[in-house]
Amino acid sequence: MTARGRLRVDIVACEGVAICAHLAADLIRTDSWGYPIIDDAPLTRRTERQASAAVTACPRRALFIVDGGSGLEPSAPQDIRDDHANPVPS
Amino acid sequence: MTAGVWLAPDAEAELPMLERPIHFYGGGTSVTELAPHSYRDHLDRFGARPSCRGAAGAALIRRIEEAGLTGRGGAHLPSAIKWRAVRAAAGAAGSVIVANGAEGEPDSRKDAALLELRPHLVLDGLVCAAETLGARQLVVWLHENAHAARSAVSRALAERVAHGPDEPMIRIAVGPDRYLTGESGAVVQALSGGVARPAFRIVPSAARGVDGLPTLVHNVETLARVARLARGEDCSSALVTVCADDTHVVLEVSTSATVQEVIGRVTNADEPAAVLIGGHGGTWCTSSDLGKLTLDEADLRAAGLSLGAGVLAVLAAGTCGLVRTAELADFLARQSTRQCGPCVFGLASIAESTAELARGGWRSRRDADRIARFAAEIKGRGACGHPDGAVRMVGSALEVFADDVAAHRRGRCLATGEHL
Repeated sequence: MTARGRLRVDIVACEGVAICAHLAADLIRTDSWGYPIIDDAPLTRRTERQASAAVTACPRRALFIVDGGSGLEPSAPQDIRDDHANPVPS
Repeated sequence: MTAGVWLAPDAEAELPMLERPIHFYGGGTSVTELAPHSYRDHLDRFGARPSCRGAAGAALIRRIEEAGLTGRGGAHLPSAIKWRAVRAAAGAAGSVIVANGAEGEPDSRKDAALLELRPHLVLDGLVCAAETLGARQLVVWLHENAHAARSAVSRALAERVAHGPDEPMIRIAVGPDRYLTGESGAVVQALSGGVARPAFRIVPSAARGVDGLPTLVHNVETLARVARLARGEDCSSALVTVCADDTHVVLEVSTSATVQEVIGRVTNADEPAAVLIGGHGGTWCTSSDLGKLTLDEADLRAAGLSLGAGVLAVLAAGTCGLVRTAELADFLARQSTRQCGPCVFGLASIAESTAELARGGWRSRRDADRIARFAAEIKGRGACGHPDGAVRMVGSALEVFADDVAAHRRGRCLATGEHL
């Protein structure tokens, strides 16, 4: 069986839009302030579809799926930190 | 204010770094009869720094591991693990070593004392790390208004350039005087050209840190201990700041000393009602909780505590623990760098609820349940450990000051005797 990875949130980029909680209701609930609390369990065939829908829909691009193994590398090729990196003063 | 009775470190063969306690009264600057070490004093006292290139570096990492050296900034991670990670990740571009002296804990003065009085020990440790790990960039990271530390380090660097052996260049960099400026992710982000605030990261900075290079961020005390270990000396002591009676006293103590003994060296007052261990984001304890507990981190961990940034803050007699907790919770909420929702909103909610408790505004069991729910929601969800510290401190207060909570709910404060 291949590891399917886990859903993670970049909590700095997240603005609590909470579309994800609607699209991935089995994986994500919101806290008292509307920010996502994500189920840390590995994704299943069913939750994987929900997870990718949430990743695609997030307007802050704050969600991503990490590989099943190390949990250290993002599955997406782009550096997820680029989105909210602080501008370098020029 | 107390004069503080100084007892020599418990029968140790170890040569202390600070021979006597350092008193800080009021705002900040140290009042001490202990003279800062010039480079010559430093050599007379500790001897020349041994080279750590090649096999000597590998031996140093082994010694760090055997001595069980952990970071002294707050998290107490085993240093050897970080060193090995940086060494494994460092390529031709080299690595970055940061001596972190941005002492954000409001009650901590140990890093200031060390930098102001024994700057060469810290710089020795920095160079030892750089030689072992093949670093090209060496940085001392400070708060921008830590003028005394900054001038002490500048003077020490000038002495080393003029009289010392050939060493890599060390630069001083500074960040704003905020609680989280010394958080390692904030240090890495600032030194990479960004703003000094914690960052969300999936790859640890030991693998990809400043400008994408493997980066070792060590508290200045940790590096001073590296300098001692490189000389083959023991390092079983710790620098702590005891905060009591409006005075901050920095002491070098054996980690086999008990917390109570160390506090007793500074204050002559009766047994304190409560002590906050670790810093503002630490844990409240009663004297009976402390018992014979020593400063040894493993001992503290087993009791659910941590020395954190080395702060032992005594609750002043006649002060309500809940009022003090509300002040601390408010401080921690305001020190959020306002990046992570659970921290921004959660700490504000907790601070508000704690303030209400201190004012006697809690009327039912539901108030306690609400704060517990907030705490459970916040824990582990920030990009850094800041919200976890706030939750820990408030959670421990509700246990330690349980009698006060009950009294406040009935409209009475036990510490002051006032009606609320």
